[in-house]
Amino acid sequence: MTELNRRQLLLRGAIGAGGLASMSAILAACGGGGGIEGQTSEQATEAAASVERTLADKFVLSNWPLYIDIDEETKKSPTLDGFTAETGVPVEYLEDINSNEEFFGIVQGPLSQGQFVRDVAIITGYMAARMKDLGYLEQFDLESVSDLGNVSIPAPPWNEGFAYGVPWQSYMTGLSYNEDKISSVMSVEELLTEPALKGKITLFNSMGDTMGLLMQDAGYDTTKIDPDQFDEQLERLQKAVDDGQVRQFTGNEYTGPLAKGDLWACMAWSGDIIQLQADNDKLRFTIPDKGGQIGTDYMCILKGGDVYTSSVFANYVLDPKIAAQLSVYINYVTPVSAAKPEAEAIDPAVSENQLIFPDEATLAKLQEFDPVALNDQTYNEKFQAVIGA
Amino acid sequence: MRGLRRFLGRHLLTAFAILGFVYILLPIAVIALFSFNDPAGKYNYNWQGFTFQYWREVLAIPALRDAIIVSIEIALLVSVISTILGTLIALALVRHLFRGRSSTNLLIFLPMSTPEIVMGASLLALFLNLGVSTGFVTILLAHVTFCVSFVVVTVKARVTGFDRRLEEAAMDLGANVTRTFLRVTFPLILPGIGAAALLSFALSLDDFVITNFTKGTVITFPVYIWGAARIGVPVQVNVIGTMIFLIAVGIMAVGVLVSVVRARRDRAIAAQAVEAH
Amino acid sequence: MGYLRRHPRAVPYLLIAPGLIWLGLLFVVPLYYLLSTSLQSGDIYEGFRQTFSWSNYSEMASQYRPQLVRSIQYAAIATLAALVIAYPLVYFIARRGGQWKSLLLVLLIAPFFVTYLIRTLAWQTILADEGLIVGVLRDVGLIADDGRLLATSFAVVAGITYNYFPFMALPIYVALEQFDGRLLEAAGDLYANPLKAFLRVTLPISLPGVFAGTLTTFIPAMGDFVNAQLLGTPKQYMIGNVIQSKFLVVVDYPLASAGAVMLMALILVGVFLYARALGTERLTG
Repeated sequence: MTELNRRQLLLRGAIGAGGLASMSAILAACGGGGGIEGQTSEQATEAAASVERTLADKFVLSNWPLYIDIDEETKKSPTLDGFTAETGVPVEYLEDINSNEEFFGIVQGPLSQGQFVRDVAIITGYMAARMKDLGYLEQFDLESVSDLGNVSIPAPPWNEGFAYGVPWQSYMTGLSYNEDKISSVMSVEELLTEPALKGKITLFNSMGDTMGLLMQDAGYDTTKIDPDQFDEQLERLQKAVDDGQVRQFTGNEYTGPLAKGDLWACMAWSGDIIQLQADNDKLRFTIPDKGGQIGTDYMCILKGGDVYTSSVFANYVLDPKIAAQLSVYINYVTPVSAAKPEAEAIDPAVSENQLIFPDEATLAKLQEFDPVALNDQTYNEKFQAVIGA
Repeated sequence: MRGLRRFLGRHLLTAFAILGFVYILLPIAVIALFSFNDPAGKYNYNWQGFTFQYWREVLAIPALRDAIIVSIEIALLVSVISTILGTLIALALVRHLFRGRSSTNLLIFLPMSTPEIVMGASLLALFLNLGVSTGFVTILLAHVTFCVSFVVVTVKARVTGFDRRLEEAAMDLGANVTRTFLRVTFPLILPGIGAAALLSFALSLDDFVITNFTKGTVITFPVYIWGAARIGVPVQVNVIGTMIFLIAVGIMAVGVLVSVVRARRDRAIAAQAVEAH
Repeated sequence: MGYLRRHPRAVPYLLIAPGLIWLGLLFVVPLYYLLSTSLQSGDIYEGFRQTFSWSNYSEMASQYRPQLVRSIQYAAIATLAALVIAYPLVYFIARRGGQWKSLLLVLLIAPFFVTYLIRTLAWQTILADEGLIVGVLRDVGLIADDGRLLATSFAVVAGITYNYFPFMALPIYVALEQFDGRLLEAAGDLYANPLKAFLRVTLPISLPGVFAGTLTTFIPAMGDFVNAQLLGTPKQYMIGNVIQSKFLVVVDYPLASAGAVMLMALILVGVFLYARALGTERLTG
């Protein structure tokens, strides 16, 4: 992979700032004493029937930290600059998503009140499904996303024809360990019970990742969740928490302590570890033999976002050249398999990497967690109770 | 025996005080030290080398710069509004006896004794129930609400300590109410007002918890840090932390000097005024 | 102005009106809405409707009892720790500070102007597993080789103690500063024993400051969630963590509101008892 400019990594770690746009909010008392308004599914269906195909003056994109390409010298994203050069639309780029749930909590209020928040946000499949149900997403103008044919992963049921979400990157959830501290950690069982790891591990605060790996470790199917199996594995998780084995449940924030050596092993996202190896070459990523999880993050148009500009942007990043440029830098799994030869031209090592361009054998070990279960309140509450949130 | 005990007592206390100051200043020392760090990776945890780079490039991260600008804008507005509201209340409480005085005292005290999380949650409950979109304005409203009480207390302390006879003297000399207030009262309580304004500015700049509930999608400086903390806070944040400390020390040191000078001058004015009377 | 001359009694009401209306609309009314929300039920899909259901309270009290109890425990320990550290320190400044008194006071307060989150992150660095303090404590055998400080109850309580330190130190300082040093000298002559002099004279004089300090430290400490989040683990989570997560992440507004109301109720009882004991004037003075 390309040698990352280390200081640049630091700069990219910054979270985007919100503009002053919300100045317009004024304390306008407007009744509604009966409770806090919810969203109805009728509102959800009124989608973009006819699209006016003119580009907006500005494109606002919300993304996760370290989830885009950054040129070492100019310290700008070639992909975003390329988009602006091609369309003339400047991009306001915000790295303000740290967890799906938290981002949902932030935008839920404004979206339910019909306020413009962002044009496009990059969110994980199950959360996109939830936001679609709540009527918080606009449909893409699919005619303007002609490169959708390049997408090599199937469209999930909630997202027929990728109308509500165009794939950005896929990610694998597996295990990581620090070779300096422990020789190897190959299974979830080892992670949860190895005495040497007591208080030295973290798991994810996202249910699909943590419960997915536990259930796969027990040999269960995670694409369709069985309540008894779920409860059984939740108990196992509770025990690991009670024993003090688990230090913390985290989102992105496991990366610091892992790179620093405070964590010896943890559940991890593939692309993070590839990037962290630039800081600490003792870190290893492994997909457990019993299997790992795969998930996909989608570009979604938030209610009130500009549909045409967003669709043009989605189309732009699906171009194999751009997709390759992105994956060489961010090291996650690209949904555009045609990007592989392009990536090879930029950096052969990346195209060989199983974690970035996984082959059939690797893909066979991966499962996607049941999206219905992910949006099920009962499962979520049980899980939240165990992780103490 | 008694002398020995005294000696021990004296030095034990001194030793404890030194330890106490070490404890208080240790985090600041760490923040300052790591503002000069030159981390190889993106994590500013381990000391790797000395550099001035991040002091020079303190505003180089656009997102951080924008967050600071938002925070300063809010803090300035909060400082002005809450200082006006609070000063008026403080004047009323000290200078006038009126029915409802103790209820007013209680209403001033309650916000200070409400945990931030309750205040933030209740404001969000209000905004949600009324369908108000959260953002810059709601942050502003929230900050003024928790700053007013602190202004009242700060100004009150100053107004209480000032000699009523000065005003009476001015009135006797023919000055009307407005003139007396502008020429005599206001200059005398100005240091208190200034301190209160600075305090509300600082409180607003620092607030994370209440802001987190009322911010909508706006990102202030503390909100930026909260997000960045998950993936490694940039060195610039340490630089700004150190700057805040130095500015606070500077302003307070000036304040101490000014109050010494003023105390002397006030006594002189008072003596003259009373004599004239 | 003419009106004011004719109605001097209106003056104080005109002075307090803007501020009190503000506090009424943005402090009292929100508390009403918090209470109202805590009695609603529903979910984000259907909206939340007023049902006057108390089930949110029973759920909070049963499911999150550990976090509630922990908040009280941590806040109490942190308050005590702050008192133990602050008292001798401000006593030193007030009594032995001499000409350096003002400067020492500045050094005592200035750190707390540095952004709260930055201070807490600094403790993360100080207490880290590979950090200096843990290393020293390991070497002298005070903690086991695989022991740690970060991500423990100790770290959380230490963080709370530090972050609310000035709320303890300042009221005590003010109380101590008010009394005349000669009083202590006289007491010293009278009682001969410095400890006795301290217990009979200094301590009673500083007691109002101690009361105020304990209250102003304990209250925000009870509602804190930042320290548990940054320095602890889910096993250290306090009621504040639950409230903020239910409000902003899980989006269960009624349950979250119930938690906030319970927290506020506990504190109001405390403040009420305190106000009864000292009179309201003292509180804002």
